[in-house]
Amino acid sequence: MARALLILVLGIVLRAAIVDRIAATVGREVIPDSLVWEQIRLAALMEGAEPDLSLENRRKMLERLIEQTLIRREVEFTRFPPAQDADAAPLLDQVKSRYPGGLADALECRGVSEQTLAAQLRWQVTMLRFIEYRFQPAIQVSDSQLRREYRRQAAAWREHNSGEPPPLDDMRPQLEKILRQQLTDSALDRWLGEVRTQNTILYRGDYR
Amino acid sequence: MSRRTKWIVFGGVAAVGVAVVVAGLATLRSDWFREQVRRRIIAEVEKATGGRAELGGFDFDWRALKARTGRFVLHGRERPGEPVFLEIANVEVGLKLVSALRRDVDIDSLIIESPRVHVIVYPDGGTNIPEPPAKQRRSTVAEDLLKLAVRRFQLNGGLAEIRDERIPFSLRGEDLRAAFEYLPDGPRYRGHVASRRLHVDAKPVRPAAFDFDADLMLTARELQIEKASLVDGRCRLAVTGAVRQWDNPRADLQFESTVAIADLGRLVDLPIARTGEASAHGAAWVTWGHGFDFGAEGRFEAKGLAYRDARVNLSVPGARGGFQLRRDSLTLPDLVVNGQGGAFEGRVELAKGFERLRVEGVAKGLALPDLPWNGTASGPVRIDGYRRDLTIQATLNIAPAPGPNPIEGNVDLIYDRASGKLRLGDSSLTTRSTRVRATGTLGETLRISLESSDLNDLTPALERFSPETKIPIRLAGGAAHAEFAVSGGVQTEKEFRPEKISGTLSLGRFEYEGHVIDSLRARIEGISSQLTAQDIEITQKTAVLTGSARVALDNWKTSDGSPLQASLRLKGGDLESLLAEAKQKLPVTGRLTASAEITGTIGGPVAALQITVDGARAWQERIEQLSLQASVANTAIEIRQADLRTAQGRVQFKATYRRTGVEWDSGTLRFDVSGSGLRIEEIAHVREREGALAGMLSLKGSGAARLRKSEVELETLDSQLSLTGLVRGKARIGVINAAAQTRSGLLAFTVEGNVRGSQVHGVGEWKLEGDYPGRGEVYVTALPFATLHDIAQGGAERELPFVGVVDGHAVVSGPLKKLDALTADISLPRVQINANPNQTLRAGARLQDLALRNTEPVRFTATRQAVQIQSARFAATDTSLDATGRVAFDAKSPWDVTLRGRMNLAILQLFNSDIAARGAAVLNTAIRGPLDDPQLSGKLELNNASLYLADLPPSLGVDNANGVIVFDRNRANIERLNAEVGGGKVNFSGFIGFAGGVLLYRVQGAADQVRLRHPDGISVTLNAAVNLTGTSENGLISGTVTVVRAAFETHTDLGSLLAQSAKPLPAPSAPSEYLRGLNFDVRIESGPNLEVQTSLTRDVEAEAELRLRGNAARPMLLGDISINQGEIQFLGNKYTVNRAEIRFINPTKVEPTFDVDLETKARGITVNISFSGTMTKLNATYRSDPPLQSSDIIALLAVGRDPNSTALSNAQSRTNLLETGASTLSQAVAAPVSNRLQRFFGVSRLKIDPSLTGVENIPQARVTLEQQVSRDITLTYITNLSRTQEQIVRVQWDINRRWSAIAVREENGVFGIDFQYRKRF
Repeated sequence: MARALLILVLGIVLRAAIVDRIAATVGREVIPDSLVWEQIRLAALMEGAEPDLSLENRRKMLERLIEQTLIRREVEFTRFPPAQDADAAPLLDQVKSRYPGGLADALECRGVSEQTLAAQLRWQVTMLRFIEYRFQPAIQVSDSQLRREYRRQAAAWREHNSGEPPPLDDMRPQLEKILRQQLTDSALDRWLGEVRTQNTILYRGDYR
Repeated sequence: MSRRTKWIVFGGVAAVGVAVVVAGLATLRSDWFREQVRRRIIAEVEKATGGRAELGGFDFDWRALKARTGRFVLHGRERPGEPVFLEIANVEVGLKLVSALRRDVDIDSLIIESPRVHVIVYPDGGTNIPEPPAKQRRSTVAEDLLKLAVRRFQLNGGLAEIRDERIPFSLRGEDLRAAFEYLPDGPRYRGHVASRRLHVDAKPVRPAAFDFDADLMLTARELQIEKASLVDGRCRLAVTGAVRQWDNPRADLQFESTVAIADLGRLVDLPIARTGEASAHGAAWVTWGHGFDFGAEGRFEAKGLAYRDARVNLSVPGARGGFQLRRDSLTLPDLVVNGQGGAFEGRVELAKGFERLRVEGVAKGLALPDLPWNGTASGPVRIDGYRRDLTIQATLNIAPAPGPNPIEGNVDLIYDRASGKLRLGDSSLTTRSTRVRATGTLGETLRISLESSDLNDLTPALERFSPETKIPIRLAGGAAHAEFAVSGGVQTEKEFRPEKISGTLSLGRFEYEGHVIDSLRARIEGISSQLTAQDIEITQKTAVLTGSARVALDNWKTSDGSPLQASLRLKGGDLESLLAEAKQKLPVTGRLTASAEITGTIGGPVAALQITVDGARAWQERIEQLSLQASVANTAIEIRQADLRTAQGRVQFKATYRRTGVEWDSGTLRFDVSGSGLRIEEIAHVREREGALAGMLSLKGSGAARLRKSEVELETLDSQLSLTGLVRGKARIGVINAAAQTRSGLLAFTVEGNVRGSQVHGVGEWKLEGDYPGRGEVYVTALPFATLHDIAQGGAERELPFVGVVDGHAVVSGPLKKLDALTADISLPRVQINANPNQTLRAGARLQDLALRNTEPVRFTATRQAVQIQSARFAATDTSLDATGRVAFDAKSPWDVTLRGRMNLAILQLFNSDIAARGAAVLNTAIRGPLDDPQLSGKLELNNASLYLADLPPSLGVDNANGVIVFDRNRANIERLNAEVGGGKVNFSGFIGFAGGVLLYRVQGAADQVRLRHPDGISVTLNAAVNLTGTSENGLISGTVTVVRAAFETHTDLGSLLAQSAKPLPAPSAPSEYLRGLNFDVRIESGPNLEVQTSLTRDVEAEAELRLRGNAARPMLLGDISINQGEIQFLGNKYTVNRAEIRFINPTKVEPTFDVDLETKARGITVNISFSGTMTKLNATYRSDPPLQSSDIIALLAVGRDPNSTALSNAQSRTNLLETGASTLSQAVAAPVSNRLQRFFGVSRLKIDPSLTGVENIPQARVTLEQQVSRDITLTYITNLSRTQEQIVRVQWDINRRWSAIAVREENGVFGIDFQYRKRF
C-alpha cells in the first residue's frame, strides 16, 4: 500500500519524461522503439560496422521484429526447446573475431551488453532451427525438381570449369538439400503471409 | 257749361295740353333740359359711386325712349398720371315706362360702348375704385345692378385693366364684350363675357394673352362662373366656380387645364425642354379683398416631357401627381415621373416665391442618362436649394442593364451647384473589367482608385468627358491599378482641369506602341506645369528599368520644347529582346545593364549613357563584356570610352559619329581602336571559315570615314595588326604582321610573315578615292609542300608521300570597292616535287624517277570570274605534262582545260603511296563542262603497266597491262585492257563513270588460271567471270569463280587450321578508298576435278558450293564444302573421312560449321570421332569398338594409354570432380541459412554451419507436421524425436472469421477444446 502510494506521489510530483515509445503492435504484443534501436545496434555489432540509425533502416528492422514476433509465438506454442550457450558459442566467437582489440569496447560503444548479445545469438539459432523443424518435414523434393536443379547447377559448373560436371547421382544429396532449403523458405513465406493477415499489426509514430 | 264752352274749355285745355306737350317736348328737347339731365346724372353718379364723374353729353330720344350719353368718365382714387378709373365712350340706355303715374321707369337695355376700366390695387392694398360714403352704401354692387333690372346689358369694345401692384399682377382685357340679360327669378343676370386677348401679367408668369370666354350668372350674393375658359394656343384653362363675399371677394373655382409645354414655356421659365403636354384639374381659390391671394390644388399629368442641356438628354414619357399651388409655393407631394426606363417618386416643393426647390424622392431603375454605359440607378435623391444654389444629393445603387457596356455600383454624391463642387461618398462603379472607386470632393480632394483588366472600358467615358484624351496603352493579360488624389481644379465647358494629381500607377502586362511590357509601377505627381514620375519600375522579361523622370507641361500638355529630365537605370536587360522591341534586327545577344541621365527637351533629348553588356554575342562573336560610356545628342553620338573583353583579349575604342543629314544614315565617323590578347580562334567568323586556325591577334589603329546613305567611305586609316602564334589545327604556321598607313589620300599596306621559316612579304597601295584603285604584291619563298600540306590538314597525321617546295609571287590589282574587278596574277617560279626519303619505294621505282618539277614558271591569272592557266609544264623521268586552259566561273561551261603528256606511271607513287605502278601512260585529255561536274574527253593509253595496291596481296597485282581508256565526258570507257594477274590472264571491258565525286562502275573482267596465294599457305587457282558494278560508295563484285585447284602448304594439322579459321577474317586496318564500299556477291564453285593438295591430306575429293557475300571489311561466306573421300591427319592420327561437311551458314561472319565423321584404329580399337558444331562450340563424340569411356578414348588417342589403366584415375578424377562440384554445391547449401539470418536479423556476415541448424543436432527436437486438411480444418502433429510418446495433436476448425474451435491432445495425454473469438478494433 505504501509503495503504491509512493509511486503515486512520485508520479504526481515528478515531471513526466518519455521513457519509451511504441513502434508497432502485433495483436496485443507491443514492440517498443527501444527494441528496434537495440536490434540495429546488435546487428551492427555482429557485422562489425557502424549502426545505421536512419528511419528507413529502422523501418526494415521493425519489419524483422514483427516477423520474429510471429515466429516466436509459434515457437512458444509448440514449446520448441531454445538453443543453449554452447549452440551459440561459434557465432559468438565469430563476432569476437571481428574485434581484435576486444569485444568489450565494441559493446560499450554500441550500448549493448554481452548478455544481450549472447541472448540474441541464442535466439537466432533457436529461430533458425525452428524454421527447419516447422516447415521442412512437410517438404518433399520430386525427381523432376532434382533433375531441373541438376541441370541448372551443371550449367553453372561448366561456366567455371572445363570438362563435364559430376553426374546427377553423385550430386543428388547435395541437390536435395538445396531444394529443401528453397522449398522451406517458400513455405515459411506463405505461412508468414497467412499469419500476418490473422493478426492486427499497427504501426505507430514515425513508423506509420 | 255748354257744349261750346265745353269745346272751348276742352279746346283750350287741349290747346294748353298741346302747348304743354309742345312745351314739354320743346323743353325735353332743349339743351337746357339736356344739360339739366346731364348734371343730374353726374350728381347721381358721384353720389352713388363716390367718385368724380364727367359726362360729355346727353341726348334723349323720347320716341325711342333711349338716352344716349357722350363720353363718360368716372374718376376714382387714381393718382396723377394714372389712367382714370372708368371711361366710357358712350352709353345708350333704353328705358321702359313701367308706370307713368308713378313715374316708374325701368332700364330696358344698357349698351355701353368702348368702356375703359382701369382698376389698380396699390401695394398698401388700396385701390383706385371710388368709394361712396359708407352711409350711402346700403347695398353691394351686385344688388345695385340687380335693382337696375336691366333687361339687356351689352358692352362692346371694352377695355378692362386690373393692375395689382402688390403681386405684381395686371389683367387687361381687350375687345371686351359682355352681354347680360336680367332674369327676374332670382333675380339674376345671366350673361356672357368675352375678351379677345386678355393680357395677364403676373410674376412669375410672363405676360400672356388669352382668349377669354365666360358664362356668368350674377346674383345678389355671388357671381357664378358657369363656364369660363382661357385659351392661348394649346393652353386651355376651363374654370367653373363662383365669386362670393363682395365685401371680401373670394373666388372658389374648379378648373381643368391642358397645356402644351412649348406654349407654357413662353409663359414661365421651365427647367425642362419645351416638349410634351400636361393636364391638370383641381380646385383653386382667389381672394382680393383684404389682399390678393390665391391657391390651387389638384392633380396633374404630363406626357412627353424632356430635359436637355449640353450634357444631358433626358426624356420623361410621363409624370403625374398631385399639386398644391400657393401664391409663393408649389408642392408636388406625390410626384411620379416615368422615364429613362424607370421612375422617380417623391415630393417636390418650390417655395419662397418659387425660388427654393426641394426634391425628395427615390429613383427606381432609371437608366443612366446619356452615358456610355448600360445601367439603371435606384435610390434616394434629394435636391435642395435655390435656383443657383442647388444641392443635389443622391445615394444611388447602379445595377447593370442589358447593353454592350453594363455597369454596376453605387454612387453617393452631393453636388453643390453654387460652388460647383461634387462630393462623393464611398462610391464605386464596376464594368466588365474595370472597377473605379472614388471618394472625396471634386475641386478639393478627390481620391480615385481604379482597377482594370481592360482599359477599353474607360474609352466611352473619355470620349464623353475628355474627347481629346486617348488611352495609349492596352492591357495584354495584366491588370491596371491606380490610386490617385485629384486636388483642386476648374471645370470648363469641355473638361475638368485639376490643380494637382498625385498617386501611384501599377500596370500589369500591357502593350504600348506595339511593345509588350510586363509591368510598370510609378509614383506620379502632376500639376499643370509639371509631371513627375518617381520610383519608376518597368519590367520586360528579365529587364528592369528603374528611375525617375520629370517633364514640364503647359497646361497639362507637352510639346517638343518641353524640358525633360530623367535618371534611369536598366538591369537584367536581354539585348536581343530589347533590339527586337526597337525593331532592330541585329544578331546581337547579351545581358544589358545601363544607366542614363537624360536632359534636354522632348524634341531634342540629350542622354549620357553608361552601358555594360555581359555575355554578349554579336554577329556570332562571343564577347565576355562590353562596357562603354557614351553620350547621345540630337546630332551626334560619342563613345567616350569603350572596353570590349573576350575570353582572353581586350579591345578598347573610342568613336564619334555626327550625322550630317536628317537621318542617321549619313554622317562622319572617327574612331580609335586598340586590341590585345585576342585569340583568332575565338572569332566566330574565322572559326567558321577556318575552324582549325588559331593565334593571337593584336591591333591598334585609328581612322575616319564618311557614311552616305549607309555606304561607308574610308577617309583615313592608320593601323598595325599582328598575328602571332598562328596555327592551324596542330600545324604551326608562323607570324604575320600587317600595317596600314594613309598618306595624302593613299592607303599603303605592308605585310610581313614567316611561315615556318619561309618568308612572306607583301606591299600594296590603294587610293582612297573613287572606287579605291590600287595594287599589291605578295612574295613567298621556298615554301615546302609538307608545310602546305601540314597546314592544310591542320596537322597531318601522315606525311605526304612526296616532298617539295614552291616559290610564289602574286600581284593583285584593281579597285577595292569593286572586288569583282580585282585581278591576281600568280606566278610560281619553282614547283619541285620529289619522293619522300622516308618512303619505301615499291615496284622497283627509283628516287630519281620520282622527281617532278616545272619546266618554266607556272603562271595563271585569277579573277572572281575565272582562272586562266597561262603556263603549267611539268617534267620528270619519262614524264612530261602540260596543262593549259581556263576555268571561267561565270560561264555556262566553266571548264576549259587541256591536259597532255606522257607519264611514267611510277610517278603515281609520289601522290599515293598505296599505289605502286610501273609502265607508261600517254594522256591526252580535255576537261570541259560545269564547275561541279567536269566532263573529261580524250584518251589514256597504257603500255606494259603494272599496278599493285597496298591492301591487296601481291598476287592480286596487275602486270603487263596494255590498253586504251577513252574518256567520254564523264566516263572512262575501257576500249581495250589486258593484263596478267597471278600468272593468269585477265581481260577488262566496260567503263567507269565519274560524276559528283563518285565513281560509277560497269566493268566486266574475265580471268583464266589466276592463282591466288594467301600468306597462311593457301593457294587457289581459279577461273573467273566477274562484274564490277555500282559506285565507289556502293560497288558490287559479282560473278562466278571456279576453283580449279586448291593447295594448303602448311605443317599444322587440319584441326588447328580449322580452329584458326573459326576466327573471323580480320578486316583490313584501313581499307583503301578503292575497296571501301565494295561488296561481294560471287559464286565460288569447285571445278569438276577439284584437287585439294595438302601435306595433311591424301586423296581428298571435295566439292564446294560457296557464295562470297559481304564487303571487303566484313566478308561473308555461305555454302558448304563436302569432302567425300580422303584421309586426313587429325590430332596426330590418320583418319579416314567417312563423312565431312563444312557448312558456312552464319550470315554475319565466316564461321564454318562442321559435321565430320572420322574413323581410325588405335591399339586394335576402332575409334570413331564425330565432331559437329562450330569451333567455339565443337561437340566431339567418341565411340569405340569395343566401347570405352570418352576419357579412355581420349587417352587412347592422345597418349596411347591402355584403357584398363585409366579406370582408377577416372575414379579419382570423378572424386576430384565431385569435390570440385561439392565445394560449389556446399556453398549453395549454406546459402539459404545465411539468407535467413540476413532476412530476420539483418546480419549477413555471420556464417552458420548448416549442421548447426540441422534437425539431427537438436536435443529434444520436435518435428512439427502441419497439414491443411480442408479449407477450414488444419491438423498439426508435433512429436519429440527422442521421446515419441510426447506427442501433441492439434486440430483447428475455423468456424467463421471470428470463431475458431481448437481441439488439442497434449503431450501428457490431456484432451481439451478451446473456442477462440477474434475481434479487431
